[in-house]
Amino acid sequence: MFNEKVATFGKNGSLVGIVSEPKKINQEKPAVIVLNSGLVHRSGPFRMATNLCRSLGDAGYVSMRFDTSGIGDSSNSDSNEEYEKQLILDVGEAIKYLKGSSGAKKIVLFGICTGADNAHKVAVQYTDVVGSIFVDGYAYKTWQFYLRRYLPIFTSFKRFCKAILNIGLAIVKRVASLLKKSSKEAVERGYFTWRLPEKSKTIDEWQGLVKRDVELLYFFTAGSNRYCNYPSQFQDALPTVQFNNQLSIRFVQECDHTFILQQDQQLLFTEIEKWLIERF
Amino acid sequence: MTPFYFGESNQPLYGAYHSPTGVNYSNVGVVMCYPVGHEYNRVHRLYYQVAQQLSRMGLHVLRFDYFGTGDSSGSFVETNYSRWCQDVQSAVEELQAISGVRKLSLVGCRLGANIAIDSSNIVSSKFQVEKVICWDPILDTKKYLDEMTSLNSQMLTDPLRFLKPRIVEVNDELMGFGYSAELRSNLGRRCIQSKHFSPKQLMVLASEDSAESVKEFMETSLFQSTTCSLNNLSIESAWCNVKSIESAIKVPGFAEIISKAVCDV
Repeated sequence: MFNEKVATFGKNGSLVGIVSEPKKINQEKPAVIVLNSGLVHRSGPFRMATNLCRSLGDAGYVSMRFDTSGIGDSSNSDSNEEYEKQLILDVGEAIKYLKGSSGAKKIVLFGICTGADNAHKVAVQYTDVVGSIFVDGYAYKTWQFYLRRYLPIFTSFKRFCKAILNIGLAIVKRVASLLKKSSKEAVERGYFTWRLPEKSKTIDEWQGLVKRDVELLYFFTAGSNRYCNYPSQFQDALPTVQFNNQLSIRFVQECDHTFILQQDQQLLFTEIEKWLIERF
Repeated sequence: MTPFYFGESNQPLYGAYHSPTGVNYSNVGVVMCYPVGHEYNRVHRLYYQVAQQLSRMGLHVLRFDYFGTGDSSGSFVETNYSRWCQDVQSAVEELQAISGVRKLSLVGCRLGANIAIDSSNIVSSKFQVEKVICWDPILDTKKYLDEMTSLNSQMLTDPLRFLKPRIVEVNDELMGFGYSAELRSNLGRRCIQSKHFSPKQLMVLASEDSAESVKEFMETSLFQSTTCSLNNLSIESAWCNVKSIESAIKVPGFAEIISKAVCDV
């Protein structure tokens, strides 16, 4: 059983979240902060974040889902900070709030899609973060990735023709977009292209997290298939990084990127709860 | 904006109250009714922006989540249409208690528009409901249910979502939300379920791709004795397009359109 309460925090109380607390709080257990997935309101795609927080509450964990500045119920920040810096400040406020209100000593982050991207950036910044869950977070391509992706094209004439057609269409679209739209216009229209950060920088950050004993749980869904298409790719791409048994990977490409099906949400929640029990 | 929980303590509803920040109209309130299921997220930020705009114009605005939706208690499968109409009534009473408003307008989108209309008759017994503003209301909720079922089938086989088509055992789920037998039965009765319409004015907003059904909606006998107006929006909302189910809708000038509709006498 759990209780839910509204949380307002940050400068002028401009950030809004919902804290889910079990009836009896165990401060030794980490509290989970659920970040926005992209621009989606804190209840998450298909209410997934609300369901996750309630499931965690039932399992005895405090959690908070909240909206960063300019998303959902949180107002735009008036501080003129760049997006990334503001995001880090916002999550810092959330950590401060949760530590104060629930006595949480350790924080675990959860992020899906750009939320996973953000969870990585935040985990690097705050030592209160002892674990992070990334759904379709960073992964780098390997030769095996390319082989799995492109080899099937040459095993079927139909696939080969389709691939040629797709390449042609992609070239036409690319040329058209270069002719018609400046990148500024693309941003204003809300077009968004996610790019992996530079690998060497991310490796340094991962090594820093491992050194801090941060536990990492990665889920790779169908949404990551265009850049991660086999279970051991994550580690294969990083042969030099020693994760010291702090890395857990769940390859769930039968599920979609935003867990639209309730049975898939349930699978996600079960895996997260098992990981929390095992690691903390 | 003040976020809070209200209603029964064992089944609280989440609300967000936007207090007036401009010239105070003081006695005019607006309750905003969300669409349900996956359509909720598509308009969430737009509703926030409308509420902010209305509050700047001196109105008291309450956005809220029905039982089983958003941040309110309960799960979707536990809820039904009549419960959502009761929730509107609770939200109106809450707004009245917070702000003292006596005059009221309701704003709704999709099924939220139907809920606004059906609940306006209940609310009218206690409060003066001036206007109901409906964006892409649904004339035939049975057809809506069929459309959701078709969209759900498309979603399960959408190669951009699943690597292999998903076969889900027969269950009550539509677009990620469990529709109970009771809710399906509610929707199968082709609401608007009210036999009359109490508010003084009805304003209907129609997206380009909903114009035909909205026109049909306006021609129903229910609204013959009410002052009705139609405003066409120059956007395609693509409610039934599988590629758009997670896309937030942006309507240029929407906050101004709603503000004008609420404030114009």
